[in-house]
Amino acid sequence: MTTLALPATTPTVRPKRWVVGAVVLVLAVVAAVLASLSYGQVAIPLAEVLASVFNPSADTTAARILHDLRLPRVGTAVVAGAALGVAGVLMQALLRNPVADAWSLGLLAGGQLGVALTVAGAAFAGPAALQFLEVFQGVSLTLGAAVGVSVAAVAVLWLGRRVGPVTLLVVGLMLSFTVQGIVSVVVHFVSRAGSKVFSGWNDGNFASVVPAEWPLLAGVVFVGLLLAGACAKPLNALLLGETYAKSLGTHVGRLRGLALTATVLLVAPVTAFCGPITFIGLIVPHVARAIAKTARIGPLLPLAALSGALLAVAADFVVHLPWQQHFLHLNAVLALVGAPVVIALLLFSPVMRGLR
Amino acid sequence: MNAVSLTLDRLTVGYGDKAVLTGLDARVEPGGFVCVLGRNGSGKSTLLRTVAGLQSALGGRVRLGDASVGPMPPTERARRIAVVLTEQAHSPGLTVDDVVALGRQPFTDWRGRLSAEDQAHVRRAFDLAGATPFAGRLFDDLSDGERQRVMIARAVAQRPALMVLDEITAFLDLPGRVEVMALLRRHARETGTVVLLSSHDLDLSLQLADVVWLLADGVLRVGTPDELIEQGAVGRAFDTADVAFSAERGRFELRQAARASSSGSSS
Amino acid sequence: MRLAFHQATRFGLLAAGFVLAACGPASDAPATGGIEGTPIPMDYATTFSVTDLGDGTRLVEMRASVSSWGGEAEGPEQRARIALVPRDGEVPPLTGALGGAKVVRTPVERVATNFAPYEAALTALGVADRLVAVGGTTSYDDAVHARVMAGELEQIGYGWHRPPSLDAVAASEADVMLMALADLSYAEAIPRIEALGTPVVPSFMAAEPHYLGRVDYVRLVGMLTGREAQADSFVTMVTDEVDRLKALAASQPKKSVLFAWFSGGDRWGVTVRNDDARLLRDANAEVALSEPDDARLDAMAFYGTERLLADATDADCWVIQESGTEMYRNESVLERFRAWQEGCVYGTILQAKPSRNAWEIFQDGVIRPDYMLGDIVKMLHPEVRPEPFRYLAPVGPTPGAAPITS
Repeated sequence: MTTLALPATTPTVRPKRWVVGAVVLVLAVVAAVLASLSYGQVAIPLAEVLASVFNPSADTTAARILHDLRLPRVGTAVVAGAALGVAGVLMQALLRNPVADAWSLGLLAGGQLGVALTVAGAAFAGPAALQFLEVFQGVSLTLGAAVGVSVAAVAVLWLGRRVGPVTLLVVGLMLSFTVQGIVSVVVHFVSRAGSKVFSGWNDGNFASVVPAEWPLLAGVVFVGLLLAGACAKPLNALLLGETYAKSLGTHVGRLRGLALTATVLLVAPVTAFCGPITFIGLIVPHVARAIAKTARIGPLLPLAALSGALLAVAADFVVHLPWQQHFLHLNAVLALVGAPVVIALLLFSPVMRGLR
Repeated sequence: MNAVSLTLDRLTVGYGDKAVLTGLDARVEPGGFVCVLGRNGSGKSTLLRTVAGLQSALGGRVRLGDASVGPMPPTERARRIAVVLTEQAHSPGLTVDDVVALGRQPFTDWRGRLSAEDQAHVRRAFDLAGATPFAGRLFDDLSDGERQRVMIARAVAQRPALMVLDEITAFLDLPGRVEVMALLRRHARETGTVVLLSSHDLDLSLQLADVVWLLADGVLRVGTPDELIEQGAVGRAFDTADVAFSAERGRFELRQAARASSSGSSS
Repeated sequence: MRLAFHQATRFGLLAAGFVLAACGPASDAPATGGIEGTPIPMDYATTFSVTDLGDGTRLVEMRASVSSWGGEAEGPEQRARIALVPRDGEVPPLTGALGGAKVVRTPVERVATNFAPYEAALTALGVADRLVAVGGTTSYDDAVHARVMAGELEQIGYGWHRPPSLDAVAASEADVMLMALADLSYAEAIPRIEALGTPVVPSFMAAEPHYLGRVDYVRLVGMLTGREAQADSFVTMVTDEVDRLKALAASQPKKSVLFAWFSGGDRWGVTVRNDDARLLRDANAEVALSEPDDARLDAMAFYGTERLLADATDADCWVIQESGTEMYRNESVLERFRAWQEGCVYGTILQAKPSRNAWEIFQDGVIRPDYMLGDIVKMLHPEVRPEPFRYLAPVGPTPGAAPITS
């Protein structure tokens, strides 16, 4: 018996693919960030970008554009992309569903509804409540979104144990349509004054975050990332299903709660501040698995965070190229990349084809 | 891992208020290879799940050595008992290496990193279960039989005191079944692991088992295959109108005469 | 300004044009070639011309190059041909230059419209009682609104909310429908409405290169309703007021204006050329970010915040908020602009009934450009214009302004 004649892919000899991948991704994210900072409707030479970044007091046009517009926007794209990517990994592991993500399963829709109802409630309660909402917009809308995302997440998790992955996907997308309908009805009945707070809200973008709100967004997402890291090991066991997870010593109920909390913390602030951002959470876990050649959650988390950030910054960069006359929509750019991936998954993934 | 015995002590298993099997007593010495036999619905899976600690006993207890399985903390239990089920695992992007490495999860740190020792166990498990050729592949791309071998490798990597395997040979062809059962028996002998395996494969089980747990009509009969055959217990448990267990030949045979007469009378 | 008016009509005009090209005469013959008649001159309108054929019969030729909202013109010039024939007169043979014309018997007694400026025109001519169907419940006019709520007026559906409801048009038994559309797919309603017996007159107001061109549409409504004298004096009144305001502004030093409202994300709808830019220039203002006039491009362009920061921080005044639009929230950006620092930042937020989403500026304001011109003059030179603002109100850091987070 030749015990040691094993292929190079067994754990001992496996080169740390994910470490190499992570380093390459970090470089790519840095490159994309620099490209986004220096190019747009106004081109700023890279040298000037670097000079301004390290000299915030400069008051040139380039410095203004960098500090007031591009840095907050690109920073938001990095945080939101990372959050959605990691949330996608968590959800795909929790549901063992390759097309699970906060957007496709209706969590973002739940968040939107939460925000819409928060605003509607305030408008209903009177001008004072609306005034409060306007002043504490960031916190209140994040809380509204968090409630909505949580309800949707619990519902999806409950349903995910009872129906197949394709059914769940369709239900999730239908949930989004339903919410769009409800939101428009809510807006119809709430006075225009209230609906202003989330006008243009069906169109996701990273540009709406004002610098003062950035710490709240990044802070909540950071806690979510820490929790996701804490879930990583036990979630591995859940990849084999609930019974195996239990047999490997996992508290399945507790784990679900933890992973769900992490997902809500990651998704809710992004929904509240950026609107619905499609496809990132869905395709990024697949990119991460392809790079790492493993489904172990540990290595996937940094890879998903990095590729989510990369995808978000790159899509935002395309949106902000100096297009003549027309503005592209972020979700349109993301759909160009994301939709073919979903189609490929539906056609070729054994789980989605109902073969497993 | 130290080799220990498995004891059922007045064990009652079932769901909720409904007991399926009551007051079971049995003992398996370290290294014992036990086949659990019984017809569908005889309570095999319930018994195995209870022994593995995946569901609570309704009464009595399961002991591994001196420790009672029921109240054991989950992590502690996971270090002593490995489980392989009929249930087919799947997950997007899961590789064969991921699956086998999961066997070491109860022993790793909070990040789940594998030590050199863990990796050695994983390698050995790959080899022992004959899963080495599948290394590096996607788990979902394997055939059912191949995946069952990978799941066994995972259980072996866990280096448990007790391995509980439920209907795992269902997807294998005959040579595959013989090979898998033989390797499990060898593993039990070499490491002192108690192996508890349920199977529909009566002939093979009766040939390979050290001890058979025969479940019929809510009663557990324990004995060597020969003892149970001689007592006629196997026949009583499995005989139908069409087949009967032949104690002389050690296998089932069609009841030719019965068939002929019944078909004659009915026409 | 008329930006949201654009929003409401732009696609509709495009759509109407397609249908006209498909179902109309599609003839390339000169507008009035071969016809004996006297042209009735319009001072500013270029999207329609009227020829008097005698015996009270008029031929209206409509043609417009239609730009997409904030974009450029699409497709060929769009045309429609309409014969206005007195009720007791004889319909001339619809051949030659009259070929394919649709006939409207005048004066029309029952008018349906899904376009609020036409409601305003009818009111201005004293014939609002001839309305039998309007867009919906969002008229700024309380009397019209009350009649809608009481069920006296049919609701066709505003073009930018939903396609015209054919049932409502049919039930109204209108003599004519003055129509704007919001979506190409709604255009298929035109032949169906006409099949139900109601000729459709489209609106090309948004394609007029001069802001007084849309005022001339009131004269068209006057011809339809037999109120030509009232229409002529209405147009003269508006034109005189515009001339007075222009002269007033010309006596003052030039200032620069940025007309850019926030449209979400980091997008701004910026007035850069054509009629809307002309109105700003007539207030003796330099238009920030202005572009050369071009009939095939929209008056408004969408720019990113970066473009504003790079090229428009020096503007003296800024109209930052359109009726009902969101306020831009990034104050560190706003503080870079002179207009913000000096407290000359305004929004078109007055004369609004937000509880029912009704805005006078998109109704009367469309045919009364003198209102907005007067406001711009007052914003730039408050000392020369004591009259109160009609649409503009300070937003942002101006003392007494609404909170900027509104």
